[in-house]
Amino acid sequence: MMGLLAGILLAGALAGLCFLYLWQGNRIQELTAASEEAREQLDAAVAINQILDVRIEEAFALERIARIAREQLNMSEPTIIRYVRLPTDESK
Amino acid sequence: MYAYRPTNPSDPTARLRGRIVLAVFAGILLVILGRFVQLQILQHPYWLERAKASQERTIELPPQRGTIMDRTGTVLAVDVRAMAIAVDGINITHPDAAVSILQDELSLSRTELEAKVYRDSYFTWIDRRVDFDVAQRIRKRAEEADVYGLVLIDTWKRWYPQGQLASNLIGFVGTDGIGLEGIELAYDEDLQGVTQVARVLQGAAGRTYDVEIIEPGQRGSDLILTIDAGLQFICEEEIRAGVSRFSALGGMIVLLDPHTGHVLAMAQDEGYDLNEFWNSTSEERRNLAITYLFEPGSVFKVFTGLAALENNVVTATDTFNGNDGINIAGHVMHNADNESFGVVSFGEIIEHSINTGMIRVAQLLGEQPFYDFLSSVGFGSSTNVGLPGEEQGILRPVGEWSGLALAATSIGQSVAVTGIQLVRAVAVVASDGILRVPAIVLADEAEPRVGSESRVCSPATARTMLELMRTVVESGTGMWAAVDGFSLAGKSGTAQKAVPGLGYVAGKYTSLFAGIITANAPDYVMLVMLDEVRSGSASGGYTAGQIFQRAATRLIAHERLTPF
Repeated sequence: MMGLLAGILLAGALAGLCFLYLWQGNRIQELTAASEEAREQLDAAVAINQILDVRIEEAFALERIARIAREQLNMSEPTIIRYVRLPTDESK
Repeated sequence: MYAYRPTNPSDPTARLRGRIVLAVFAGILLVILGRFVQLQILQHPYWLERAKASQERTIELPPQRGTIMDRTGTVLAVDVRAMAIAVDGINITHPDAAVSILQDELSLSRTELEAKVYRDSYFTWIDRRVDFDVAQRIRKRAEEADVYGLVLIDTWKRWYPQGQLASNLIGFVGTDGIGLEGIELAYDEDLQGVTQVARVLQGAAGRTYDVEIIEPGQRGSDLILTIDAGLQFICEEEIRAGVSRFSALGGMIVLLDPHTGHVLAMAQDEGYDLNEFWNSTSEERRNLAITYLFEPGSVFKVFTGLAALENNVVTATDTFNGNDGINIAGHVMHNADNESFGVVSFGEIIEHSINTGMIRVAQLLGEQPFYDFLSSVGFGSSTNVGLPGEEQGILRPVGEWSGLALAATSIGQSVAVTGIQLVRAVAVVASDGILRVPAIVLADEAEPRVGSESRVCSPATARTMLELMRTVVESGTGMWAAVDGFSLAGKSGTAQKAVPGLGYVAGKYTSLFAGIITANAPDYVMLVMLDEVRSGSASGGYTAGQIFQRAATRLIAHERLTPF
């Protein structure tokens, strides 16, 4: 009778361990997949961030700034620049 | 009531029944075991391949191409993530929805899309360079609409944030990521990286479980150009304005640092949007500074003068007959506007660009020493600036010179040069007689450029010429180029254009001005060239000189140069 009980307990323990192994294995797979999905999302965010960086570069393109300065702010390049000699301390 | 009644073991019917049941179970077990052996042992490789085929796929991610920047770090060309989109026309679900989504997100016509989506093929490209964010939207909308059969592949897209700036210099890459023109072509090997190969393990519904990198791949090397985007922009604006103002066919400005040989700007009136290079013509894409050949006209007197000074044939004060008309091999050569100057010094010959005086100087110098000097400053051979398609120019060997050649060459006729050759040679004056190989890419300081400079004349000779060129701007043919508050040096040129089969044609000129900023601190050398000015005077001093003046004024402000 004791032998039968020990056998049942052993079989139960073995079944439990098997279940634990399968459950943990499955969990690892799930977490790996979630991690991979998060990595893909990060990758996409980095890619979009880089595109935004380039769009910032585009916004600062010299031609665009010059066009806005001329057309929207009515600025123009000076046609004549005069440089003036300032008196030095000695000549004051 | 049911009562347990044990079977009599001696009952032969019961024993037989028990054996039959045992045999059936044993048979079933054997079949299962047999199938197991078949699947797991005998057909193992086959089923392993099948499993891999459905769960694993090998993907190749093209390498990110190196970024091209100017010397200040301004990004001129960069790779950004993109998606290539294709369609599986055989297995696609809801093709109508797919067409609508693609039509909404991409600039493609419905007819064109329908032709691609309904094509009887497993793989048809829709667009190979879709912006990453747009592709993400397409993916999401396709999932929501149960569209399966769109294939999205990671790739890169070349982006030129400055648009048209320095387009003729930078060039572009094709859809397969290979450089096709300009810097992109010349430095393609450095800019390209190594493809990354990865094995991806996927479960049901395409869920990724593992990624194994098989080949790590490598990003392409970045490239820093010697160009200054700010100066390039100034030069492009001024040459465009100048070509328009003087109704010229075209024009260019090349700006060089004479102490390093760095090209700071390589501008021309025509350019194209690098982000839409397919809309440009080959003529618009041409880089004039290295491919356009022209006669340098009177700018060449700088080199005749340098050769004469270096060979001790003349001094700045030696005098010559500067009157109009000199007979060379039965051909009379004239001054501009047939003007006579009487007895003039060598300095005045440069200052007022007197043809007859310079021809007499060249006669004193002789053919061989003159040719040797011109060769030493790089005429007739490419500058090795490192750009594809560079022309060598034309400087015939002395053995092929006619009786007219010495005189003609001394005033910049019968030779042909490129813009980069001419500006580099003028830089000799600004660098105390050192000729440098022009550079377009900032060299690695650990690897100095071997043989990149050579002395072609003494510092004294170069400084004498610099002083004479200062008088050109102060009181000679280059007065239009003067900038208030600064002492500049320069030389103008107006060369008649030779048309194949017709020779020199009246009314067709190349107008030039080569200037040094400043005469006191010669840190910049600028060449302005206009092709066929068609409104008013074509004089190089008047036309190219004024463009030089405007560009130099802006350069001085940009670089915050000190006046006086």
